[in-house]
Amino acid sequence: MSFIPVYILILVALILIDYTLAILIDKNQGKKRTLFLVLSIISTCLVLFIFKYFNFFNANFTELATLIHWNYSISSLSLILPIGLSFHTFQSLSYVIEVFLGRQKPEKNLGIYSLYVMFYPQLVAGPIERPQNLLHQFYEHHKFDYAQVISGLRLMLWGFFKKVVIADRLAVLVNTVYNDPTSHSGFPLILATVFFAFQIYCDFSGYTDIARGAARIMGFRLMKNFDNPYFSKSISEFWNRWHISLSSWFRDYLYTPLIGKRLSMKRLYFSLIIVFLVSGIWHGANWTFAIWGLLHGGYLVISILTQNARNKVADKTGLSKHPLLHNILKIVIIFILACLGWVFFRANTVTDAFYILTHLFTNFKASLFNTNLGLTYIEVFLGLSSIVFMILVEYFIAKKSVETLIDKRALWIRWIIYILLIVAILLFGVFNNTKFIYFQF
Amino acid sequence: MSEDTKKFVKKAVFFLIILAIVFLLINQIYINNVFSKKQGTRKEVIYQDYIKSLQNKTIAYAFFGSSHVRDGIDPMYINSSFNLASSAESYVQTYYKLNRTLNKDKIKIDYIFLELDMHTFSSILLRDSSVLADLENYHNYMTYQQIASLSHKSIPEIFLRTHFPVLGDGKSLFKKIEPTPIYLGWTENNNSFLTINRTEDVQERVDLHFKDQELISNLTLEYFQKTVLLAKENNLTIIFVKYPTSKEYNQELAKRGINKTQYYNIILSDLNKTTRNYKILDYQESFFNHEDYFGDCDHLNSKGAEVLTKMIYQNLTLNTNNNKNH
Repeated sequence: MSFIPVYILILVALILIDYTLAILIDKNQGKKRTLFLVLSIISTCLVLFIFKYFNFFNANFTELATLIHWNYSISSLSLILPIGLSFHTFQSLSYVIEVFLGRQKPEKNLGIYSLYVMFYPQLVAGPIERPQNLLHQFYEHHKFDYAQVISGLRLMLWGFFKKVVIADRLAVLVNTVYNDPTSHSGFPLILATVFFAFQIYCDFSGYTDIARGAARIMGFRLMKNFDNPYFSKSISEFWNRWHISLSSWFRDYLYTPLIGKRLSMKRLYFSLIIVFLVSGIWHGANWTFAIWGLLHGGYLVISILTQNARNKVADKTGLSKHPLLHNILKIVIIFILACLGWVFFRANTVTDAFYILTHLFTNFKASLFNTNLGLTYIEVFLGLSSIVFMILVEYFIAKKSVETLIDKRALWIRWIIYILLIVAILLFGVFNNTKFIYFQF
Repeated sequence: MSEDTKKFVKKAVFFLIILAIVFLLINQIYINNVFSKKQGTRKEVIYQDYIKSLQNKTIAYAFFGSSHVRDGIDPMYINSSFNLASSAESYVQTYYKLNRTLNKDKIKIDYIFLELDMHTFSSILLRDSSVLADLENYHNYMTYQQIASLSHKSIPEIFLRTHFPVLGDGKSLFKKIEPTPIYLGWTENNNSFLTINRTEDVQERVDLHFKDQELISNLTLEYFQKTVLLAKENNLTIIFVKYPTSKEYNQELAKRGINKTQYYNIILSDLNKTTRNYKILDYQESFFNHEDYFGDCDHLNSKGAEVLTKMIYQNLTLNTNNNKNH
């Protein structure tokens, strides 16, 4: 992933193609309308395929060809993934699809449309906005609003805290273990996996908060992308709370068409598997991402199949009479399932992922005191306490709004909170590892 | 300007002033309680005090190198000597340190002792965290541009880290720091190789130095040449030292197929292009039967440092006498 100036031409080309096709879709009916939609989808997917997936599929075809003794010799491309490609292509695709479905009028102003695709706070890693939410905001008059600016700065501050203090610190241990998993077994593998669950959450939600905060300062409202996903009590709830803009994109533009109008359970399961497989592959050209996607698809299918059985178990064991305990158990189970999926997401290869999964409890007692994990005990403690702090803050923000929690306090209390956060970032931030995980997608 | 904007600007300025005061206060507390106790900082202060005390502005015997030298040479046993070595120092840092001493501080050096150990040219000494560990002190003898080009950090970042060393190191405020004794640059090592898990120690150290690393890095070779040239231009007598390591460390190198003869052939053939006017003191195997001289598999403790320094001094005196006789 990189910013290479000449690649701006790709962005310009995609903007011009979708801008033109959306207008043509709106002006036409029937087959021509569909044709223009298909052209848009093909052009977008072609660019994605060339830059992101060609080498992956080429390498796999080459291996397959070698196995079946077929002479296949197309060499790989030396292309670097343009920054934000996966995100702005999906954003512009959603615009064209919404125009096709008649839910959005085509934007006639090329400048405004370009801004919709290239809006800088969310260009690189989302949230993937819908035209109904974002386009009209470019026509609104935005004046300096003190409360909005403070709210935006506060959101950015929280995002920086999650990224620099929590995510980047946890990354040190995660990278030490996951870049050389066969040197570890037992507790370090479990700790690294749990840490990764929070690293990726803090990294990505931190980025989203910075993006949303920057947009809010200018008076723009971007959609929420995370809603305390690790408090989910089911896999379907997890996917309503994690990377909301992407999961809703797949739900509306892939899952719903696949389901069609006649719902059958087989079609439902098939659609879920396909959607999550595609979602996995969207994240990266590697079998680890495909397996991660399939795993989550499988989780959903199994959760549907076992719903009745699980309800019966809850009734029989009396769990249903203790909703708090029942909910805690569900949250823990969903967190564990998510962590098992993160093993594939983070592992460098499928082999590494299987090694980790099969060695989580090997030499467990002996591995408890392994100190060669890249972080000192103090840093591990700092990491754990900042995770707890983050969970508590986001839990209370979800229960009560930030306005209730902070804005109604006296000025000196608010300033102490802000100063403490900024000082925590400056003192405890890890500044050597500042790339965002989702920038690579 | 709207009322909202004026209100924001006024409050923002006031807030930033308070934030700056709080941050500068914490930074000063860090400098007093943590930064001033760091080895690099203390060594720099000791060096500055030492050269101020020199009447004839001459250091007769100056030792440069990594922690092998830092722990292994006790200047108490050689008159008019100073230990300028520091942890994870490569020839990159040695060159700039020597340049500062000779050209900025205008200190004359008679004999310069340079390290020639197995890990000296390893690319491990050039990893970002090594080049330049103690970054905050390097601005004393390198420009920001030089530091930036070697450490792959931006100049603003280097500036910030130099002047606000608390950035990213707040956790050290909560650690109790027991400064190790430093005498004329020598760091006293009171550890014992006899009491630790030697196999684990050797594995860790050899892994650290050589696993997935280049044995001879081109950048280090380049600065090695520059250092030797600088010494030659200033008429310094050049002495290379191969410092003692434990038998186990050497055995581990052999097990991993690291060929010492080949390694030194490459270094010396490169060196001979610049000068043949040098001496090599080889003590690598001298302490194979003295595990009690080591703090770990490749660092001498204070006892070993005393013995080695006396051996070097004896060698020097013998040579000086021989030269006088001739």
